[in-house]
Amino acid sequence: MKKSLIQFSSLLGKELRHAFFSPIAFCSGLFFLFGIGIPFFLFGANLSASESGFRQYISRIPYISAIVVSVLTMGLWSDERKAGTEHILLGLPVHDYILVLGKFFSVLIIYLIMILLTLPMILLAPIFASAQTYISPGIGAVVSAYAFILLFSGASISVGLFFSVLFSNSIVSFILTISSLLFLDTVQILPQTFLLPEFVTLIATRLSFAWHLESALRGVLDSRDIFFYLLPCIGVLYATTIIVRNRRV
Amino acid sequence: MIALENVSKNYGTSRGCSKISFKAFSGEVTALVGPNGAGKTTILKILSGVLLPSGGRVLIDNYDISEYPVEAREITGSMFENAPLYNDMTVSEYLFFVAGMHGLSKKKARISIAESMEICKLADSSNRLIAVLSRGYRQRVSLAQALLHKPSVLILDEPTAGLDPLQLEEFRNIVLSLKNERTILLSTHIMQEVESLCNEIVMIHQGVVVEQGNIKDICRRNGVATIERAFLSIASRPSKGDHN
Repeated sequence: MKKSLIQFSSLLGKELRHAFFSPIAFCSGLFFLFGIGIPFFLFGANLSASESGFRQYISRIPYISAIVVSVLTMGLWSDERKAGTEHILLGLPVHDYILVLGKFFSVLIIYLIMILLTLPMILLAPIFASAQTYISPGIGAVVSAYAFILLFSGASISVGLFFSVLFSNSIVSFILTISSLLFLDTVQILPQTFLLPEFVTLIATRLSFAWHLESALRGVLDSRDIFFYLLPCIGVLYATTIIVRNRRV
Repeated sequence: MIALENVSKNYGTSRGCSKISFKAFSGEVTALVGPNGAGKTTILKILSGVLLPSGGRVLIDNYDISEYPVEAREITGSMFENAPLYNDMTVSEYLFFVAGMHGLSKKKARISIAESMEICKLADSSNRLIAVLSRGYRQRVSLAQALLHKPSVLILDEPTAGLDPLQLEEFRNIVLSLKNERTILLSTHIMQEVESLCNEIVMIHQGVVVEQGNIKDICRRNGVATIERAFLSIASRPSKGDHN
């Protein structure tokens, strides 16, 4: 167990070091903060004036995340393959799941830092709004919304990592990841646009981020929402581990 | 000790190697020799744990690599072809990373890294970025990482490719200093290197073993004076195919 922890932390350290010393994480972070921050500063008073303003603010994060997560994960494994360093990893006495978890958590930590950097915008909201119109979303709603976003990002990162292991070309991995994530972000629009059977409408609605966000914004993290993102995340990471194992076959 | 028993590897429909059998013993340097595309790298990747065999059995110090892959990799140090390394790290950062991946604590890692750096003459380069290292130094770093956990089996895939004569001589001396307590298997094209370093030779052609033994025996069997002549003679033969 201790050995596994040392191995995990070594890989995590290496991945974080690589990310922070490359322009990709830095540029992604800037894009993320500007993507979320610019509408906030342009329409700050409106955003902070009501609960729906806070919802609009939070609901923008997954769209920006789809791009950021796709960029951060696209080279996670495919770059190792391109550089030949995949052989180093596969030749080390490390269980495959540690390789997958080390890479997964490195991106999750980077994403967590980006998310935490958006918190000052929430704290600054009362300054931008006039005292008469400002309605605080409440600490519970903020905490549960952010916890929910973290769960969502975990599932998103697992999808990105899966495609990065599956394809040696990082551009292919990027395109498939962003397509999958944008589909999940916008799937609730389908029933509004097309006439679909009831069960398809139900599935599309339940798959959508907006539907799951509702309860989070009420300050309650429903266990169904937690499992909705946690189980696919674990499932996809498990599938990724199997693909890594099969790379030796 | 390394033992391969009827080891085959297929990549889809193409064959990497077929029914390879040989043994390499502790205290000896065994050379895996063959023309390009003969299947040497495939065999070395199997022994390094990067690939699993499609058939047959591979034992590394009595660990079957299909049943105990992690345990087998724990006692194996591998130096891969072209020395793939993380270019954005310094030498010491990279060695600390590899030591961590072997589960070594910081204290043990520091001692092991110092020893490996001394063996590979890297002490003056510990803070240099890998990206700026010459080929010779990259090979040394690659060898140092393979030695960090004091493996009993050392797998070296074309370790001297692209080195100048001075670096070649240094590298040979390092390998000779390591062979006493280890099983060393190396692949190479340079017959001069085989003559100066290796006790045993396994010749591979088109994925099958076509000759094995010590230099003297191989030369005698092929009616030639040098191992280079034997290599040329064997490489020009038609393949024995699966009848080996």
